[in-house]
Amino acid sequence: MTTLYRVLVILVVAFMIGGVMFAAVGGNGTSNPSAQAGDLPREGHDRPDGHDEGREGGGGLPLGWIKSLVLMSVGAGVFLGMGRLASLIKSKPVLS
Amino acid sequence: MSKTNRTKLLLDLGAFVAFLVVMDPRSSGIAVHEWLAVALGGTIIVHLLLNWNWLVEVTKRFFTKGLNGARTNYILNWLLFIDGIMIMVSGIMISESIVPTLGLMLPQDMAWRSLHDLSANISLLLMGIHITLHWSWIVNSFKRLVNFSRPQPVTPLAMGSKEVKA
Repeated sequence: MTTLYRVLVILVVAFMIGGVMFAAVGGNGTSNPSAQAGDLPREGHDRPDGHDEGREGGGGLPLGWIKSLVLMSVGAGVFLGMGRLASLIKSKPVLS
Repeated sequence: MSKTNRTKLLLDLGAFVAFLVVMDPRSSGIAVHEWLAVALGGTIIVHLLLNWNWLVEVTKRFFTKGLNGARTNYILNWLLFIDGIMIMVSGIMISESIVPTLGLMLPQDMAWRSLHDLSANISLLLMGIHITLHWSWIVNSFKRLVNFSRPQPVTPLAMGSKEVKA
């Protein structure tokens, strides 16, 4: 019962955030009137941004994995660097 | 190693691999990308349930002093959660596999696609920070897991007292 209650709390919070987001971006699909359903290519065509995301999949090197790991490392590196910088600033004696 | 910690570690490792697969739809294909993302959403709920006590404790003591590390962690976890929801909502809006399977047709909007790409890239950065913050726990738990599954060498001390005396 407690677990169900907790799951419910998580889902309610998620739906609230999702709802706000949906309303902000424009849930009826009119936030970008120049790009309505009729204007956009449907399944089977190349995407306008040049990303053909391989609907069949299973081919080639997993370059996306490498990109993901690099981006994660960048995030971690920036975070650690900022932490080190903050501790350096804190430990620096104030000149009078 | 406690059973809960082992469950947490194995769940997190599985979720991490699934996250990497989901982040590369070019290799997996769009159907795997979407269905695995839904499964990952369920895994994140279990992840939150397993860490529920920490979540409640930090929420209660958020404004008290001496909680610096946990506070940073807490804020980053919220950002990751919000970003995850952003990915899910925008993903549903541009779905090409799950939503059509349900017999629904949503209007196409480039804004959702841009938001999906942007939030996915942000989630990678946040995930990197999330892993960094828990790195020592991950390494220690993994070491304990490996030691736990490896058969322990039999030493005289580990044997019965009669054998030691002999």
